Amino acid sequence: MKIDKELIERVAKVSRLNLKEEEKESFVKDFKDVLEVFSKIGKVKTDNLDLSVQPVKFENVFREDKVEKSLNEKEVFKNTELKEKGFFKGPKIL
Amino acid sequence: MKTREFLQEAKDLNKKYNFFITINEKAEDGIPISVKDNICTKGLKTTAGSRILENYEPVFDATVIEKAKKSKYVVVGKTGMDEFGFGSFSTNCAYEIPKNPLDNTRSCGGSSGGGAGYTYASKLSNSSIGESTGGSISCPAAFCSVVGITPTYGLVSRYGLIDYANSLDKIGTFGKSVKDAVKLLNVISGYDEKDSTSIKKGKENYEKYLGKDIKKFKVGVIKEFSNGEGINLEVEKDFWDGVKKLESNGVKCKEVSFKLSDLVLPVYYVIAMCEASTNLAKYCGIRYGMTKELKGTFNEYFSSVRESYFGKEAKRRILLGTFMRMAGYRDAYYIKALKLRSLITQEYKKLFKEFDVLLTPTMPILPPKFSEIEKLNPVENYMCDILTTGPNLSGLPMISVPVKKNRAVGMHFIADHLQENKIISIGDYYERVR
Amino acid sequence: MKELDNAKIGLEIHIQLKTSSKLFCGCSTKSGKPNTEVCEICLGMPGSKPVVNRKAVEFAVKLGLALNCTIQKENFFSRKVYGYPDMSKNFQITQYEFPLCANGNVRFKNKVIRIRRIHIEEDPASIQYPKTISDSDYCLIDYNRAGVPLCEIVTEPDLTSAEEAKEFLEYLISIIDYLDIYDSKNFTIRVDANVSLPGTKRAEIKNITGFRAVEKAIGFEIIRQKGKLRRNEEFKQETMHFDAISNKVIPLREKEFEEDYGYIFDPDLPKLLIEENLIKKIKNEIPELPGEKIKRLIKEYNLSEDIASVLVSEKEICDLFEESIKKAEKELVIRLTTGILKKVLNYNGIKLRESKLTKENFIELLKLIEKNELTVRMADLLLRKLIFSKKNTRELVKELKFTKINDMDKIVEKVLGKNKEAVEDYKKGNSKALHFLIGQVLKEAKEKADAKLIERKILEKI
Repeated sequence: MKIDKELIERVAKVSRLNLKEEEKESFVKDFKDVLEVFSKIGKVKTDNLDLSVQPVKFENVFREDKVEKSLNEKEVFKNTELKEKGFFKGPKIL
Repeated sequence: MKTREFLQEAKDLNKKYNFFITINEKAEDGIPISVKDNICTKGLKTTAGSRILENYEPVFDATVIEKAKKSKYVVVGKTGMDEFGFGSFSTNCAYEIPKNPLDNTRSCGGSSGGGAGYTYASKLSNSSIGESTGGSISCPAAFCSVVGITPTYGLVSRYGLIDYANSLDKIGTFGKSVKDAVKLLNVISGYDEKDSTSIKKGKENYEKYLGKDIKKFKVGVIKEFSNGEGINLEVEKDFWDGVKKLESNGVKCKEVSFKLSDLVLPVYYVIAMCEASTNLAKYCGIRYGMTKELKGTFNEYFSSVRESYFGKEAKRRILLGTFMRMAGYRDAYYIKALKLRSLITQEYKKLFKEFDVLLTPTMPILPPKFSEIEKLNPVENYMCDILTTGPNLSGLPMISVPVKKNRAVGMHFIADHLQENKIISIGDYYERVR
Repeated sequence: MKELDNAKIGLEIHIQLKTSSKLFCGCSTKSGKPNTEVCEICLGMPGSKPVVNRKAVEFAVKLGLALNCTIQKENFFSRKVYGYPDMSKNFQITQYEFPLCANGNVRFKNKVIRIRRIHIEEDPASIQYPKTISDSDYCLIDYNRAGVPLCEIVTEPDLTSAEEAKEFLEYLISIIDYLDIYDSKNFTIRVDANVSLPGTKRAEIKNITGFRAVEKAIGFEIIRQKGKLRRNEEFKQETMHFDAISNKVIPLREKEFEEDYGYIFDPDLPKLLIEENLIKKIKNEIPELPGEKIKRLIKEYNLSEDIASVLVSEKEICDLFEESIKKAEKELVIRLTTGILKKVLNYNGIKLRESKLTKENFIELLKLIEKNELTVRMADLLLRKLIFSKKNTRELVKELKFTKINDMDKIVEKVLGKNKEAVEDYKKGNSKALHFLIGQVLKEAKEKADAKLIERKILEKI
């Protein structure tokens, strides 16, 4: 696995983050340093271990199929100016 | 308690220490508490310490806030924190950085720095609601010389907590004393059907575990975390003085090895960053949060908003977290870490068969100066969490109690899941005998 | 032009489950004015958390059992992370490594179409544009649909032609109809189709809505791929979009980068553990499905496969048939259900369960025909009213003033009396005269009579 600017650029695209050139350089270094520490975990065997998605056991938590109150218009749009005729405005697709 | 008094005090303290990002001008009378700014308060700005939520006012209260309000608590203000919880010194706060009330050239700790600082410094408020993912209650509790309780994962509802890492986040309490922290824990804990990871158990009164004689407790002092190069000499000395205090009062303390001590930090960070990178995906300049001019395609717009309003550490963790979930790397990092968490939890459970509680210093260092923190590189930063990440990873309950009054070193007691009774009893006992 | 039956076609079919509330929150699944059925959870507001709708899981188990899948005892929700304005969290909660159902199959014609997996996921929001998709500067988003529960059914590429894919889809939906888990009236199915031919690479056509569009899209793509083969062009795996207006399949604009969904298990959601008792209980709720039903109908009532297929296409029509056949003559019941009733329903674009027609009214109709008080033609007209009316058959017969067949004699005699010339013409061998006479009787009877019966009567009297 090669840690270089190209990798950072690809990860940045997937993460939807624009990065300046200097930032890319500094993140290359960070990745190298940090992943060296994190990669230690590869050395330990983990066959037959369960995936611990939560640290405490939970299963089958449900709500019943009942309709609850929705937010009113004021609440829905409280935190945005990007709205039009009851819709949220978003960036164009193409 | 008169409103204007505690608001005035908060403003005065803020001039000196920047504990608050937002002070609640609309506060009415009640028992004043501060709340970490990643917990949603209806109609009161909630920023999670980030610029991207600079103008954000939630339309609902977090469950813990609903419970607090019902018990006549009032929110004095929202306290300073590392952006989204990313940090151990609150220096990644996009707003004014909170300063340590014991020494204002030093950090409060993080990420719940402002809350711990305010709890220490206020003469009118004696407890605060904080949050921990990897140690963000314990660390500032130690650094600001207050008590910090991080409950078992799932004991306190996370509904309304702005997520850092969903399988690691826990809401907890600060207090001037163990009793203060416990009283507030009583109020905010309990099953919540709106949180799928809320533990279904009956309400417990934690105050009844105060004032107990814990001489029959067996305490396991974790060898790897209590000696040696990783620990500052002063911290080490204070810690062992504290252990001796316990022993001279009849509590059996025995050194024990925690075999996976090297793994806890990387496993914690892999899971935390992977989850965080998905939680932060939603901040993209539509529906809420800061925006820019709506131009470009959606990827262009999102990338531009996120670049402008996320801080450096947030970007770093998003990038690392995204990388470790990507095809080709996912098995080696994300999946591997999930399996290792099972192993680490198993190891803790083995120790709890022999010991009632485990004990280490809370932090390996004294609260650093801001000038020292600036010099730390990312790995050095992360390594400061070495003593708290283990129990946080496994969702174990823990309490940090100042080793001596007004001293910025904490004794960190850890118990097995849902054994708050043990950490409260021994924490309270230590407070009496120290 | 018959296509070569060697295409490899796999379908991913999205079914919206008809729960009252959404998959992870209590908002209603009914549509309304934009952004009125939304809350902090389906809007992805910071701090909100999902809780799973039990009914959605039960519906999904029912679907899995009906398609002969293995229900995975332990299954998990995952986050599929990508940015798009219709995803309120910029990730979709779905199931990735551990779906609810796997390894099913559907017997279709003489084949077995294998079902690779079925999983539960949340529907995205709907996006509109102020102008067209390509010349709008922004988009408009309605999150009412966001969070509605979906089941995604993924087949193996066992289908071999566009026509077969369409027919399979129709058959699959008829099975799902029997389960009463999706709202056929208010929801159009959404399909992604994967198409390849020997020597080509897979093309994925995304988001096709409706059966006919599926057939057109796949058909177009097969032709396109054949063309490329003939011209010896290079193939690469592609993602396409079906334009319903031009009926063309167009490649989606190549992104500047390849998406990586970076799946993690959703840490807010506990795993699902499906117990044996639940599976048993749900299995008992599944009615006799089309496959078995056809076989039984053919055997029990000595029907042709064609007739049985028509009956089976709607569970309620079949039930009506089986009730009616106890009370009236078989051939008549067949003609009235598969012929007349089906035609009337199709013409009005509704299903039997959406109409007001009752079993009693229908059987009454059959009885009246048998008693010669009504003709089949009159029954046709009556049915057109019965499907929308609260009134019963007898009331409607009175209302419509259908000419009783006894009265028919009088009318025929009257017409024959008035048109002696036409009668003579017919006797001389002019068959057109007969049609004229029948027409005259119909006019007299104000159309409320059966042409065949009239013909019979006329011939009797001449």
